[in-house]
Amino acid sequence: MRSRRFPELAVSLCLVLAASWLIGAAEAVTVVDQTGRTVTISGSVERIASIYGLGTYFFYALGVQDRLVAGGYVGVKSVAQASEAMLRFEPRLEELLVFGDPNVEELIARGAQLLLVDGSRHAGFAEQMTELGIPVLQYLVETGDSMKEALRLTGRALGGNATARAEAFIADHERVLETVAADLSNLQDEDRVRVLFVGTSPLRVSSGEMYQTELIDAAGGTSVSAELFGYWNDVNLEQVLLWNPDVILIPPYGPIQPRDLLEDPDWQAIRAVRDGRVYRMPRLIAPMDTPVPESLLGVVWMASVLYPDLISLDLAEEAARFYATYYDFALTEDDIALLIAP
Amino acid sequence: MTTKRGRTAWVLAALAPALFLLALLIGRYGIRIDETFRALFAPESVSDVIRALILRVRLPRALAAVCIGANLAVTGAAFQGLFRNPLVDSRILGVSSGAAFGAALALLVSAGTIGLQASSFAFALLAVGLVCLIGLRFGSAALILVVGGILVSALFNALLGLIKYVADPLSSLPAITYWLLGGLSDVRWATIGPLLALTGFGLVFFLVVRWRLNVLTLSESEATALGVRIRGFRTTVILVGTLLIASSVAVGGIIGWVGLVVPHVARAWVGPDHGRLIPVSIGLGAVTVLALDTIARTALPSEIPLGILTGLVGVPAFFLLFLRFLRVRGEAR
Amino acid sequence: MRLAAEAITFAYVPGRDVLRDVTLAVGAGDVMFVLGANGSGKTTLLDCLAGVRIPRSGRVLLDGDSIDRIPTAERAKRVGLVPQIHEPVFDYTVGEVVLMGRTPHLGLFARPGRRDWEAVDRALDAVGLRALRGHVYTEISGGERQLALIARGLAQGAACLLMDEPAAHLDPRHQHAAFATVARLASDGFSFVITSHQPNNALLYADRAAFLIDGRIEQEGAPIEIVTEETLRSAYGIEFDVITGETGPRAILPRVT
Repeated sequence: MRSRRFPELAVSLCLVLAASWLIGAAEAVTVVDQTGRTVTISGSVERIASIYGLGTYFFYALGVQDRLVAGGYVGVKSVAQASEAMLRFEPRLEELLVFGDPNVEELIARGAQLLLVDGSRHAGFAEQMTELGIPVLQYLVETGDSMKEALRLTGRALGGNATARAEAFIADHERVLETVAADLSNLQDEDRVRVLFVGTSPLRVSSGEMYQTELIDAAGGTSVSAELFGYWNDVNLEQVLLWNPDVILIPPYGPIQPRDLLEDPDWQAIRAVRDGRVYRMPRLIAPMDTPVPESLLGVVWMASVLYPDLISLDLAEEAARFYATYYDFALTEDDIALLIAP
Repeated sequence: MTTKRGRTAWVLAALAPALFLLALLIGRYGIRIDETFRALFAPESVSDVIRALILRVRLPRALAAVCIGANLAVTGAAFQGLFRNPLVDSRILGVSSGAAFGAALALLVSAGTIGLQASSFAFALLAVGLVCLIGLRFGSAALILVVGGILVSALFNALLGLIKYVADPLSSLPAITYWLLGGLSDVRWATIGPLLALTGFGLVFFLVVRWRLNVLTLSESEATALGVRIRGFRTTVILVGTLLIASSVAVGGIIGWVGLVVPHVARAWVGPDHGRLIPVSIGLGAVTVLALDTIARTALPSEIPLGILTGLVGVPAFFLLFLRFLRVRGEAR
Repeated sequence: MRLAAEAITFAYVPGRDVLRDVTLAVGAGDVMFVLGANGSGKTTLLDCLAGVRIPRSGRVLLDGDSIDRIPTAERAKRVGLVPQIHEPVFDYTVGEVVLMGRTPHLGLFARPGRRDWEAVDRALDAVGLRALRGHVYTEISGGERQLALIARGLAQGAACLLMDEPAAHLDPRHQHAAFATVARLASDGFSFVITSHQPNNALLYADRAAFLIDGRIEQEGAPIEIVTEETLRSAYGIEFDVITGETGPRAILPRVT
């Protein structure tokens, strides 16, 4: 296998080195990535790659998706797993998709000139690529703020339009959050909706340190499981009864559907189940409960679900505008129906 | 040194129901004693929440805990005698590895709780079946079975590693990791039927043949000379023990140390005669897992995996037993 | 009672016979020693006589009936196997060890009762170990353990006991105690087949003896008749001096040059 690739490899390497030498120091950009490393990107970047499942969507939001040569998409292991909308959204998915542990040679063979990597998992790999002369940006995105920072730094690294796009998104993000906060400004603390955000199994719930809790706060609710630490926590039914949430939210991935809880006799004693307020986040392209640009819509969706009478933003409108502006993607009627279905 | 009489062991028998009720009283959701009793005996007289908690959450969970504790302990005791090796744990024949693989497979494809238990149970039996086939082919001396168990365990562990590798790190993989640590957090009536049935059957079996298990500790020729059909008896003990372990692992995941340590404590207490060892192991195992599970579900808002607790308790307990063993042997010489 | 092997042949691995055409018999009151070198097939012979292993050809008859036709529990009540003493893994008491001899009298689901403990006490009395009943088996001496295993055979109700090298780990005093017990029981009608690699013990304690050489019985008869220098050389591969007394051979000594 390797010997077949070798000529390709050699040629790609030569191309990369020649190109960077020619264009050279002419247009060098220096950014500091989220692990604190200073990364210099010299010359224009025509071929970009991301093995960071969340970061790939940054490229789309910044309008540079045409330059993609390889991408990992969070939650999508194979083309078979991608949603129908996703295939419309990215027709080149089959050729771009990479999954699992990163393959150095594959990325070099594709001629990547800039690489996005998860700083918490693939630091070692990042070093390898840097030594091979490919600039790598490492990301540590856990919160809305770190997501915005990540977008900003990616925009700066790419230069041109991307920088402006990043700022535009950040402004939009702030607008949405402020509007929601204003709509809910008269809400007393004791009237806040108590929300339980479960995971891929009903008793596996989000902790206070996760992005989901931040979304709930932004949407004006209170996360009942905020006292937990770390990543997903396993609890038992007794603890859920003790919390007794008003609303239960299910992520857009995983096997749970609202009726699994609504029809479960053991869960009937919980207020959210009794009142029928169990909702699954809709999934169009990227999962809205993870720190991707879509999470903006996640806040709008959540707020509309929690306070249908108070929220002034229209989810359908916001979604259409979001996808058109940032992803260059026109939503169909069905897409919108999917998004606003409760 | 004379061995202890079993009289104090019956104290456990009287204590067990009391401890069971105590476990029902304890939980993060505060429920008064009178409410608990009313929930049990006059369910209509308490609120929905309390009724649900006592009858649908705590009660099946406590039952599962005592079943699993009893199963692991009694099988550990029987296997230690059968293999003439006090360091044997109920997992020696590859049951746990097979069960772990089956469960991981089910979690990988999001098969749901029933699918999880069925898969776990099936692969546990398959693992032991493979070991028995090895025994049939190469002669079922204890050593052959042990080596067969090591090989089969290694095989399923490797396959488990493969599953972990392809599992989605956001959902399946953490679920698999959590399952492997053991726990009873999602026990409910609908899922413990097979466990209860098999426990009843298995415990009755071990109780009625308990004296004859002593003969298993003799060499094969001695036992045969005493008129015991040793191959058949040994196979039956392995089969029933496997059913007990497989059903326990299918419900509760990998819970270690109980099968190893509880029989030792019981033996230190009432001696090696299985006539006393078996019932004491059953009681002690049941009480231990019940107590640890009560802690697992009450100490923190999130569940502490039961396997971690049994390890934290089991390791020092085993160490103390070992020190005692050294001391006793030293004094006797 | 009579236990007889008729021309039995046995092999663990096909093609390598351990016992070849072996014939011998014991009756009530007999003490028969089977002598042979290590690995000569003595333990296998006992296993076949006890019905634990089935010979490839020939038969073992217990009171005239083929032993593999007799139900195992029934057989266990008549023939007992007394193995070499070993270090058991668990610390049973002497009483509990002897109690295991009652297995053939107890069904699959039964547990020992008063009658079984009475049999245990009788067996312990017969070997003189009653006082050690509550002691832990692993803490008594080797000689006492051997006696306990004899008691276990008696508790089975066996009239014939097959003993595998009982003197192997015992000092002279305990050897004597064990064999004196054997003699006493034989005079009460019990019969014994005892394997040994110590011909001196045969000279002291046996009524009859046989040499098992390369899986065959060479020489059988009264010890004083068959313990000769030629037979010893053939059996053990080294030279011996036979010390004779008035009645015949009294002891043997390896010839040390």
